Amino acid sequence: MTAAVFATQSDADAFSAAVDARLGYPKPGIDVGGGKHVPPPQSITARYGDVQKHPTLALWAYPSDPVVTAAAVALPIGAVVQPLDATWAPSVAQTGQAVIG
Amino acid sequence: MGCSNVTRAAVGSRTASRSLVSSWDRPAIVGRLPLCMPGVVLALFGDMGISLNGANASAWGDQSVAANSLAQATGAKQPPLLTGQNIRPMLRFSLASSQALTKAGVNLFGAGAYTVLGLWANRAPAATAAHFANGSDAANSGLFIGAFGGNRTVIHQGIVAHTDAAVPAGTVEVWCARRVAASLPTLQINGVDAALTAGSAVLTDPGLVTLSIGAYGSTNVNPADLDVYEVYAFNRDLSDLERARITAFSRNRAALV
Repeated sequence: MTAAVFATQSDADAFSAAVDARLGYPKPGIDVGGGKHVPPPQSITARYGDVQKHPTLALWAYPSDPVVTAAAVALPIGAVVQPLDATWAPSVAQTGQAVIG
Repeated sequence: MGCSNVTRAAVGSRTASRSLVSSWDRPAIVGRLPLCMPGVVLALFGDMGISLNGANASAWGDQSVAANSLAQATGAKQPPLLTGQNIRPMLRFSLASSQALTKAGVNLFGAGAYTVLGLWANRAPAATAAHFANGSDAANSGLFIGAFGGNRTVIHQGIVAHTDAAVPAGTVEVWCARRVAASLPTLQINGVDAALTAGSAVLTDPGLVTLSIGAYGSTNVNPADLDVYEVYAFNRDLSDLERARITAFSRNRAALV
């Protein structure tokens, strides 16, 4: 998985919020297929992606996929998009604004 | 209960119209066998009760009276609903995206008897797993359908393991896991007893856990490339005849017979 890795949770949360704003989340569910559906509040899609905390380090990641890339949200200074391996360690120090993807 | 919906008017209209509209266009509760059977605590149909976010499912409504509906509030983790000519409506879960539908705080069976039946296809290579579990691990799931370990099929968390690499990926099967209280569960695939491997154990009551399909519990680990058409769970050990009837029902719906 490719993800944008952040050094602070607030940066990751801010990025997540920016993606959601760009994509129009939260969105209500549209019921199809007849039968019994969940009450409307339970079918709301609250966000596009989840911020993930590194199991031990002070790092937070937001998954990058074609949808997020297409949203073209500017990353905060210091965030890096990279394959998310076991270490998560940003391998390149980002020096300026970047666009995910 | 679903059977109570069979009214004279409904039957009459079905007879009179004779339309060629598919069940997907106008699905009916009528004839949904699992809803007519005592002890049903979960009944998910791919052509009913689905709420969409675009083309992806944000919720899957339980058609049983137990109201154990599942949902996913994160868009990237929602499985697409696939429909179309010659395709039974189903949810296609993605391993790469850790897609899952879940409901927290569920205890479907406690330590008692159960029967779980599912119609699904494992799209992963034979060496990877698709399985379900009645979790003995409170941190994980009460009923889980997903991928695990090196076996093609596994019922996980100390219940039943089954290894069979002979079935090609994408083969649609009816699985049935069942047990009587305080005994080892057993597994049938398409109505035929499936061999068990080591690791089987008698479950204790898992308490309130997360019901999940696609990935494991609330943490979205062990995701699966899995097509799920329908799932039924009963809080009792169904008889041989009952299991055979539901298996035939599911196979008929999937045009496997």
